[in-house]
Amino acid sequence: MLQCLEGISKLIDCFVQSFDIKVFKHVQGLKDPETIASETVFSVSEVEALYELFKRISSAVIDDGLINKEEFQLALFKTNKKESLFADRVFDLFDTKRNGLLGFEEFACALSVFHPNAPIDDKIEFSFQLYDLKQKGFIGRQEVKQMVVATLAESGMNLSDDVVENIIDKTFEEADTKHDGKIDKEEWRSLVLRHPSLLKNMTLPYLKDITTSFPSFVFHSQVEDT
Amino acid sequence: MNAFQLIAMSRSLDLSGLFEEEDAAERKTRFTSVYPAKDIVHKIEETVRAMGFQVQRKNSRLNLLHIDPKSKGDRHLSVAAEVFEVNPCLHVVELRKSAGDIAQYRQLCIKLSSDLSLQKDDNMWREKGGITLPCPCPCP
Repeated sequence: MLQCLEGISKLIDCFVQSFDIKVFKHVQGLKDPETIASETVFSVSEVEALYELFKRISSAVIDDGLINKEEFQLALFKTNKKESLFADRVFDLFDTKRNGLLGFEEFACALSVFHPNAPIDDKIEFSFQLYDLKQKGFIGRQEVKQMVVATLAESGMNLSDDVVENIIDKTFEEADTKHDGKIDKEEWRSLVLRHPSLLKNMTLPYLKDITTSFPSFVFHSQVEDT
Repeated sequence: MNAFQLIAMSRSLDLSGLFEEEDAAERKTRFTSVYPAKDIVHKIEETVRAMGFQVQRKNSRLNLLHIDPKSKGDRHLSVAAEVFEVNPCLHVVELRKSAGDIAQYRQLCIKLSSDLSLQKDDNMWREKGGITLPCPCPCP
């Protein structure tokens, strides 16, 4: 019986090796940077540079041209041992196809929101969805508390429950203008427009210099030098 | 302080880590302090000047620069220090390294956080060279 299985396994090995493995791998070169550039605020050369970053991140664990959650955590925290409420939420928002994997288009389209030149409405929308943990269309008090506690825990800051409750009370007093115990999209928008610093984590200045940090080599570039 | 301001400080929401080789979390340090804001700022200035830093002040934000005459420009340690009020008795100090040696930065963080984050019971009513440490509000 064992010999039989061994035989079969050898047969399968032969079969796999004789196949052209490239057929299963995603094409290494970026096929259509213009399309992605047109869907985002990035220029074509910025898309190409972003692709270099994407390749680096997506090959960290499984070299399949896609970023899975582990690779995303690794790229963010430099360790795959760190689970995070926020990183999960960010990943889910990037993963518009809902398949647990990020393709380059999903990656570029999501990062486009973080570009300094991206429209503020996109940032407002993204941040609202980010904080709407239960995806109910509003940000509830419970969710705010969960996020505050998570933030404090990860930086080792100690604030008493009273202080935390107090902060949340004040926040809702200001933000919840309809006094219904929840912050809806309109209220979020008006809060953020009054306090632009609330969106500071929605902008990555790095994205403006991405062509210098991740130069794509001349023979990959489809952009003509003018 | 607004809850969302606190949340926005979260390291996990700082995607700049995607672009960095070293751990982005290593570059940011936060600790709480019961000193009043201007005392914190004064204390930081005093401490870092003694360590040989240059200080540039801008409201509640300090830019600290340590120039090492032996090394090149990009090895100079450049740190931003910012103070945020949680409530009148409690402040959060955030230190962010924007350039330079991470080991030197860590030393700075350890020094500042041990100087500034006093336990509430330790000599809260000391007077020290012009800095008084009153806590006028009934702290929890």
